[in-house]
Amino acid sequence: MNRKTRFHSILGLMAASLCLLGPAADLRASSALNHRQLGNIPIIENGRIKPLDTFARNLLKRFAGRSRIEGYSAIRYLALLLMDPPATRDIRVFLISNPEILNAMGIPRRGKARNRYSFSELKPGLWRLQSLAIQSSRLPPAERGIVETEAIGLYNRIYTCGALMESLAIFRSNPEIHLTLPGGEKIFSDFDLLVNLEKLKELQKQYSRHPSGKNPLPARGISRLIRRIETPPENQPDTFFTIISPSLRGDTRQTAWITPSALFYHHQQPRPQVVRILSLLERIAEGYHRGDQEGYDRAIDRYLQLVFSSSVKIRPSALKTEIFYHRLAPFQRAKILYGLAVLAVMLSLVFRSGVLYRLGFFLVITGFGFHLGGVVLRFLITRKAPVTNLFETFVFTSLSVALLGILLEWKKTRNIGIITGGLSGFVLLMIAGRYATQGDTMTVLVAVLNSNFWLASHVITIVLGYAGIILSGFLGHVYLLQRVFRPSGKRREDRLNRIDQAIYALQAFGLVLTFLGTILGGIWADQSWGRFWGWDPKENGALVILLWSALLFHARKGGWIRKTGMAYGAVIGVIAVSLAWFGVNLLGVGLHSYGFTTGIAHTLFGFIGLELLFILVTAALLTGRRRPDSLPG
Amino acid sequence: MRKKFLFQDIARVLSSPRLTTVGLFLLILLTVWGTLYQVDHGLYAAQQKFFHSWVIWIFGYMPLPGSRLVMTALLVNLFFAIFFRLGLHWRRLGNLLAHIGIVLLLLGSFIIQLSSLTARMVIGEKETTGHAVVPGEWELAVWKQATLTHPVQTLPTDEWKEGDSYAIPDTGLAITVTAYYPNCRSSTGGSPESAAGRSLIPLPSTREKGKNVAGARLTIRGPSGSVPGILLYGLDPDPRRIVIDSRAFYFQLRLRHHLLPFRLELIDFKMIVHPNSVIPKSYQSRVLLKKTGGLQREVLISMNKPLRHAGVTLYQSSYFTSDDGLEHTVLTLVRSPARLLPYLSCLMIFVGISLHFLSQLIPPGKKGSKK
Repeated sequence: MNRKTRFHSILGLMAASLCLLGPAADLRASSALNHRQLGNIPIIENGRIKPLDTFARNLLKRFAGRSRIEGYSAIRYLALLLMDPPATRDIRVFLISNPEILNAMGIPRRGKARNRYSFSELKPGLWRLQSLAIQSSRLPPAERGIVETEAIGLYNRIYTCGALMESLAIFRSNPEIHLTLPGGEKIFSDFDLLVNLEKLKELQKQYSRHPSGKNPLPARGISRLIRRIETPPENQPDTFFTIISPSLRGDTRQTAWITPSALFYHHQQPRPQVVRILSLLERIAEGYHRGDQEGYDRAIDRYLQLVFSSSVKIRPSALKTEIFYHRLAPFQRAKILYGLAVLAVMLSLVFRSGVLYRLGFFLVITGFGFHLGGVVLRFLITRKAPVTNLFETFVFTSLSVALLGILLEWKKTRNIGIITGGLSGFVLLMIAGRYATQGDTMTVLVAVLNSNFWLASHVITIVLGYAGIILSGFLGHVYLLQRVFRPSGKRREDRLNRIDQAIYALQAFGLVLTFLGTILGGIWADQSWGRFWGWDPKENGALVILLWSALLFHARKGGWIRKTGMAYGAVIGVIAVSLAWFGVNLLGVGLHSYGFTTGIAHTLFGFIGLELLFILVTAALLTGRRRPDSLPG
Repeated sequence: MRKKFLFQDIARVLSSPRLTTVGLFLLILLTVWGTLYQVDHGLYAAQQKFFHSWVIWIFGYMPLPGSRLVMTALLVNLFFAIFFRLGLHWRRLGNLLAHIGIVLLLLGSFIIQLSSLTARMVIGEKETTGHAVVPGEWELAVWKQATLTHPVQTLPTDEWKEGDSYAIPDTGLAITVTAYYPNCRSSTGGSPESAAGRSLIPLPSTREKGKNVAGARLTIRGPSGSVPGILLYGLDPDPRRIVIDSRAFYFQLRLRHHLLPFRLELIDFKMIVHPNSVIPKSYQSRVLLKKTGGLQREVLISMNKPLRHAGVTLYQSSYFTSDDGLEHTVLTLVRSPARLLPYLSCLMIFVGISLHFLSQLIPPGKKGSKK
């Protein structure tokens, strides 16, 4: 079954979910519920077991670009999608960045170009969107424009939304499942049918033995219902709400997790076991609809007890830690604290205030504490070295840079350590935040990276090396700015000497660690690809950093450059790191395909342009003064 | 006296860190250029043009030093630096060690380039093979018997040019190359057994050397007769039977075979994905390693866990399923006699530069002042 067919069906299913149950009540008993306990339920997504809380956050980030929308927390929004779809109808959740999509769908634009729209607002244009998305998906990815890519993205988001609405539909009373019995007409859910299958069969027998000899009307209705339960529907749109693990359903030969609907329709297990699992889920839904917090939480607890007792692979502590990690948002806090620390130290320089300086030091240390805490928490959750993807390399590099900055401050380079460490930590965490909005940041590892030892040793070392070079470059900026703007004098020269020593030491640290990381990468490549060195772009990037750093030391030794030249060299070193880190990813060639990224070219070239401008302007200003040590060499 | 001064001057220039600076700068340029060149021309072409070359010709007439030339210059610079500039002193021990390590690394990379072999081994499930093929290198294989198990002779085709003649030892035959194409395609209509109606259409070389398919048209001469117009194409699955002087021979143009002193049987190939995803978690081949003398043992080759045996290393590289549904594993075979040189040299460099920078933390003259 292809995606197109499934999309056709999902539009129907969404309409069913949103319309059959009628309008959402303004005030529901469930609206006051707390969903914290619901967030503890384990689910598998893209190969990783995670709490439903994380799943909900990633989902909302995908839909809306943020983890909270219109006052709804991510888990509350997910609870609504699962248990009360009509209530989500008017929530403006679908982020549309390109208004041309709206034109293509025939939907009027509301307010600013980048805005969020509800399902109700988009509904009139869904068929057009589907047509555009299908046509766009036939194009090779390289030939798709922004509109085509966005159309496919929006199509997939709405598809996911519709599929999730259907996840617990088996527990909903469905007007299609009705039976006229002596007591009157009754409406059931699919799950009611499963639970009462034996009774239905018994009833069928009773009615078929009717003295009239003809098949009476109720018997025909019962047969229809039995057929419904025994003949699963062909289209199963929900492949996302995969919360039933193989061990929970007692099928240890399989590794795939399935959805409640799949368990319901395609179960291979004895019916009592299926009913037992689904009953627990039904009680959760029941607790939700009654708005009974205690009953809701108790039902979730009982389900969790069954889940955790069935498998040792699901670690309750990891799930709880992950929820804690998301609520703590350590990198967000660290970023803010770094920013405030830099501000405090800057103000301390302006007002010559010791209190502000101490406050800055305290803030940067506290920020570092949150930062380190976040990295440790991630390790506890994934049990992998915290450098498995680009997001994590940013987080780890910024941690290393901040640590080096604090060490510099401790070695009495007053203010400079906090300013450079805090500022670079802040900037790198800002960039990391951009990757965090793209979804799960704790992805599983592809086969070639699936080696904790090599990953930890190679990537951590090389990232530490990058951190040394980056901080050295930041200090290079400080050195050059001081040369340009601070009046000359002995104090300034002492200060410049201290900065120069720090640039030299950090450059040396960067060279040694980047070299060690490159060797470890070479050994890893020898183990998995059969060669130590292959001129792959990523390898070449690391080589360029090493060569540049070695060049600086030799040029200084040869007398071609002195302190100012070293500062310029350190600034260029940051450009080399940025190119090695992301520039080579943009090329899209080589064996390091797991690190490829798109959409950063403008930012990268903008950054390089600014750095080159800084070099030119400072060089021009220093040349104008004709000082002996104002130019490289 | 003058000669001595001259030598000292030359030694000073050749050992100068300024020469190193220029060399490193050129190397950076070549590395960046070569990396960008890969995007349009592929890794092999970039390696040949920038990283394995002595001179690079820009626009066909402007020479620029290639990586080999720059590295050789740096090697000379290093030798002179070690002997004339660095000198023996405990403070310079790290520096010296790092530079000797770099010499070893440069020499090691030359040795590896010249002596290593990379080949590919493709094995279907339950099949056994005792050879690997070298991508991009073609050979003419000639058999005397129909069993085709052991080639009588193989001739490499790398240097073949139109009009060349080669004798095939132990067969009494010789060939004359009428046409040879490093990359070509075969026209449809015609079969390997009949050259009539079939021709070879030359193509430009592909970005990856291993993707070229060679083809040749030969004249085969026996002691008392010859057969002209024998067309051989690299993708023909079976050898061609040629009768010459009433004797049958079998000819095939194929990728160069590297025979191994052992055989491998693929028991099972497995690709494991992370549950509920298409993300591969591991690729692994369970093989039976059959040594000469009847000894055999089971081995599991997987990503990051290669098999090292009899001087070669076999890495899990790829896999495919053939049209008949049979799973095949693709292993990369590497034979590199100087494999450990990079390890040793890198260790020396790392220890050397670490010692060098650490020694700079100790202020000079401290020892003396204590006295």
